[in-house]
Amino acid sequence: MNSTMQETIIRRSDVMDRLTGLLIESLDLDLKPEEITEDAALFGIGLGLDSVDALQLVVGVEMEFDVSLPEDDMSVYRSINTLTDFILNNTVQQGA
Amino acid sequence: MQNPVLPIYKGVNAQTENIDGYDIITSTSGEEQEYSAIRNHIGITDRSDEAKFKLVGDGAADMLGEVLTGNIINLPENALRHTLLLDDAGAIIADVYVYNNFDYFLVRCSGHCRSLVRQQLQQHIGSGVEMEDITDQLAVLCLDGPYAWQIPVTLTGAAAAGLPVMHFMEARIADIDTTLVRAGRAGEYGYECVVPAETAEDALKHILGADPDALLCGRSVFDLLQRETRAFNLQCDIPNGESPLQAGLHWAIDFRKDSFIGKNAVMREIESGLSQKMVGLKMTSDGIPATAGKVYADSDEVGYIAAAGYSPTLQTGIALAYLKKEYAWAGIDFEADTDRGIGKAATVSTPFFVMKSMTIPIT
Repeated sequence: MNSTMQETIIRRSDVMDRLTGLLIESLDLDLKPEEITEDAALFGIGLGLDSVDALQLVVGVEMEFDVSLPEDDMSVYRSINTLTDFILNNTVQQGA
Repeated sequence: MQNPVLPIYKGVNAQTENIDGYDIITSTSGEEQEYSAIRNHIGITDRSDEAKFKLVGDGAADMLGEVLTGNIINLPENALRHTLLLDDAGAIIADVYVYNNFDYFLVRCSGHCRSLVRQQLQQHIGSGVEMEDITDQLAVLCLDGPYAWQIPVTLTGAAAAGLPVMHFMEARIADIDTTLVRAGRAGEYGYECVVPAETAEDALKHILGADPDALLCGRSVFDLLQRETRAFNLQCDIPNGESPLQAGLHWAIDFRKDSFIGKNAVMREIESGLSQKMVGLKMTSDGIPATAGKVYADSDEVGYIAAAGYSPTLQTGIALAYLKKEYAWAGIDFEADTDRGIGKAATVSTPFFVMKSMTIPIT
């Protein structure tokens, strides 16, 4: 694995681990991180979150990652992967 | 079982394939038109051949809970759950939908899994539970598309607009008793009209009358639609018997249940870690990924393509691929075998794009 790929994966893995932990803790989900898959839908079939969960999740993510999540772009809230995409694209890489 | 709506589909020159005595509608107007109908308006598909098992008795919920990976005990009335039937080694036998119909549970699965699922259910039936195969009694007419909700609202009334996802209600299409189910496979709004088989032709005429622009569709286009959505497709997504965890089906498993068939194997894989995982792959150069082709990182083989095709919406090739765990992340550049040799591709979050239905409210 080349160094560029390795750095990209480390950065993504870090965000995803923090995000998964935040999801489990703030929403009190009876799941372990390894029991959640990155592309599972956050709402409906998948993790089955509701609108109250969504509000808690938004507040938690904004505090944890110092980002402002969009109110009207539902594509961001589809899965842990899409939330991670948004965070990675909207935060400054440490040391960059 | 005879296809109860075949005469209507034959009227639009539908292509069929006879499987186990049932004429499955594979296509009607061609993939391009059928895809466009379902992504932009409404497509109507016959799934009457899907297996349907009715389980009655006080112990039915417990029994299904022991057999299937999902939690059936907490399934509310008038709701359905998409879950899995595994074998003892943890391999997927079928993905099934379980309906809690108050008086009984209904288990539905693909027609080609009918005998295997029936066999597994029969083996676990205890006292106080009776099972009946009612596959031939009911027809299933599916409506998928960003405006699919308009047909049930027109035919059965405004209450259909409030039907939550993965729930069902009793309704009437003209004088036909109908179970209206809110579930789909294309990532768009999806409804199923479950009617007595002998009334299916009439029901379909009413459905077509409610929206003359709705298009009769076949089943083949759903391989592409489900791939774009990453809705599990038993016949495409696990070509080498990949495990449910490798296929990313964690959401279909209740890890807290005391037992289900295959649980030991699932928990062993959780503890030992996955060797590979399914990811979405999008071409960034010309070419369509080759099904069963390889995926490379710096010329090293790091995975293989399970299912692939051209996405008309993205206007590029897409695939679902299994990559070694250390490479299975979105946002990474790879190379992949395509119909034009080795091409450039990147892993992406799935579904591959935001479906039109997410932007259209039900009114």
